[in-house]
Parts: sequence; structure tokens; C-alpha cells
Amino acid sequence: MRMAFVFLIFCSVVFASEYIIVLSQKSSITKLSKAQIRDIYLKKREFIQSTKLVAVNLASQDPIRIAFEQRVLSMDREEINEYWIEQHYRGVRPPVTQRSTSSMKAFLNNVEGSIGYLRKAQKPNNMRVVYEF
Amino acid sequence: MKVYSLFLLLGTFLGASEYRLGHGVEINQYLTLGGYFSTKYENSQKTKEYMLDDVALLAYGKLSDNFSYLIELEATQFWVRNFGNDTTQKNMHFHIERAFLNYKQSDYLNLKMGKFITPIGHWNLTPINVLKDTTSNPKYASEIYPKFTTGVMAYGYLPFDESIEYSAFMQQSKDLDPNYVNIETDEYYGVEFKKHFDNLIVGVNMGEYELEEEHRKYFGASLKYEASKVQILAEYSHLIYDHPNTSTQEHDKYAYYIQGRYKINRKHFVIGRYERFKDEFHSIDEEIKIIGYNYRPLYPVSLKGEYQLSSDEQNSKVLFSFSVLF
Repeated sequence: MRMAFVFLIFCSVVFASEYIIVLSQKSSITKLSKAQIRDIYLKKREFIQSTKLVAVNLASQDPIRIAFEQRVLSMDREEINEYWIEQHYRGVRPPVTQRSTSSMKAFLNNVEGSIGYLRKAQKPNNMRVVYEF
Repeated sequence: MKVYSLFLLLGTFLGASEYRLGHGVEINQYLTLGGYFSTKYENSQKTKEYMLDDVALLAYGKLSDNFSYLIELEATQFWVRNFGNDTTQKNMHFHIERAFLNYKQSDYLNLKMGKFITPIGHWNLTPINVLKDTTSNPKYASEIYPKFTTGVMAYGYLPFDESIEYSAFMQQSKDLDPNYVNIETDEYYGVEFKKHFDNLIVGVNMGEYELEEEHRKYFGASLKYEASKVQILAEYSHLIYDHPNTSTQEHDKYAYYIQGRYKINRKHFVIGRYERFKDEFHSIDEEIKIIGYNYRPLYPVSLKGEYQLSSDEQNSKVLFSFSVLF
């Protein structure tokens, strides 16, 4: 019993989510699934509950973006690169990129329907967490 | 290399974001420029030639929150050297391959107006050399239905089942630019549904069109399975038509293929394809087996080689190609 308890504690520490996906509290969306977020970031979909969402990325070497791509998109950088090359032929561009978490926060504040990822500790008060990873 | 440098320079002058090969030059949200080319060598009993096959330029962008556009201009058989009869031909005239305006109402309803790729299966949607795994196209892709439509299309996900995509299109005019169309029609309707599973997409489609006052109907199905190392593509299409030189007796024509691709690693792919094409009126019944190899030093650069073994010996051939997407 004690071993099981220790194991549970260990798991909660090791596998606790470090990052959050946020959007404006003005939005009526309260929660998103991993599949929905994946579709929005791959631009397969743009609307959730009639809200048009604008996906925002951090710079390509940012550790939060790398974690997001691995844990939420479940794709490595090469796969993502190949995907956007094919979309280029179809006339579709990747999500906009912000250079830092502070510019990401400013973008999320100013652009209606924008959705982005941050560290849990960086959550702005006026943003709603719709997914954790 | 020169073209690559040109794109880098263009991007610098126009203040575009950093250029990456295969992603185009994004000037701003209203304009992204790109293009592609492919060269091909073919050796068969009928033909022995080398050509700069496709040269194309792409421009696309957003016009507003809901409107976007895309224009693609292409010159095919840009430069052809035929070793059999020792001739060289050039075609430096660019024609409209695609030109459309897109309106996005929601994920359930998008409208496309202009000249666009007919939404059928998988092969037809990615017809350029650099994004394919073989230099050749299966007969399926050119014999049954018009590859392009000039008209209107509605498409999106079905509201009651978002795992199903639909496309419905209509043409009621001449082609915007008939130069590179496989079947020239001025009346064309069709619909397609595609169901998405985890690694699998299955689709069904049907349509009808007029060709020289002859009425043609087709129906078909498609499948795409993709796992980490393996991709399987299979498509079937069946055409029912009345040949103008005969009585009103209906004839059948069908084509299908199944293609498997094994990814050795990021750069190396081995491909095998079996295809069959049968036209009852013209008494054609051809089987083609293909083995091919695709080397991608970078994803938007493709060097391919393939051997086609046809049941009609004259059609057996060896093909090599080199293609790049900018």
C-alpha cells in the first residue's frame, strides 16, 4: 500500500503538466481536446463553437514550442516541416510566430480568438486555460 | 542553385521573412510566392527523351479574414530533347493551371470559385512531381474524369459528423484555360465524401460531365493508409459512356491502382505500384507494374527512378526525374 502511494506521488511529480494552452476569457470556449488543438495548429480547422481561432507559435527553438509539438501535435520537427511544404502547394501558411512569451501574451491580448501556449506559471489573469500538457 | 539564390534575393528585397526551401517567400499575409520545376528522362521503345517538364509559379494569400486566393501558372514540356529523332522543342508559354478565390464561412462551409483541382481521391489533389513518389502518374489519374474544374465548389466537414469531409462542385462554362486539361468539358458536376479514421482515410466519389455532346458518368473510391514507415494508396474509378461513333449502347472504362511506399529513413523511399486500365470500346486492357525509388536529400527536392513493366510491351519504360519545390 505504501509502495503504491509512493508510486502515485512519483507519477504526479514526473508527469505533472508544465504547460498550458490559453485563449481570451471573452471566448465562450472553456475546454479543448488534444485533437481539436492539433487540427487548429495544422489549420485543418479554424472554428470551434462558431469562434474563429488564430493559432500562435513561439520561435522554432523555444523549449515550450518543442514540448508542444511533441506532446500535443505528436509530430517531430521534420514531420511538421514536410506537412507545411505540402500545404504551401495548396496555398496554406503555417500559424503566425511570436519571438517570446511576452510578445505571445501581447498577441493573445490584442487579437480576438488567438490561442497560444505558455508555461503554467506564466498564465495571465485575463486568459482561460483550455488544455494542459 | 541560381533559382534558390533568386528567391533569397527576392525575399531580402521585399522584406519577407527568412526563406526556407519548399515554403515559398512570404512577402506579407496578402502575398506568398513560390513555384516548382521538374526534369524527366524517359526511355521506352516509343520514346527516348529528356525534358524540362514543368516550370510553374505560384502566388497566394489572404484578401481578408474570409477571402483568400491562389494563382498557379505553368509551362509544361518547357524544353524537350528527343534523342530518337534528334529534335529539340520548346514551350515557354505559361498557362493558368489554377486560379481561384476561396471564401471561408466556417469549417462546415467553404466556397471556391475559379479554376481548381477537381476534388477526387488523393492522387489528383497532389499532381506535381516533387510531392509524388513516382515520376509517372497512374492511368487512373488521366483517363476517367477531368482533373480540373472551372466553376464553383462547396466543401468542408459535415456538421453532424466532423470526421467526414465533403466536396461538391459544378462547372457550367468553358475551361478558364484549356491548354493543360486532360478532358475538356463545359458541363461537369460531382461530389465526394471522405471519412477520416486515425491512420486511414476512405472516400467515395461520383460525377458526370459532357464531352462533345456525349454524356459520361463516373463513380469511384479511394483509400489512404499512413503509418510511420508505410503508406498505402489505392483508388478505383469507373466510367460509363456512349461512344459517339456507335449506337447508344453504353460502354465501360475503368482504372485502378494500389501503391505501397516503404520509408527506409527520412531521405530514402521504395515504391511499388500495380495498376490496371480497361477500356471496353477501344479494346484496351493494360496492366502496369512499377518499382521505384525516391531520394529526398531535402523534402522539397526529389530524385526519382522507376521501371514500368506494362502488359503492352511498347509501353514498358524507365523514368528518372529531378524536381524541386520553391
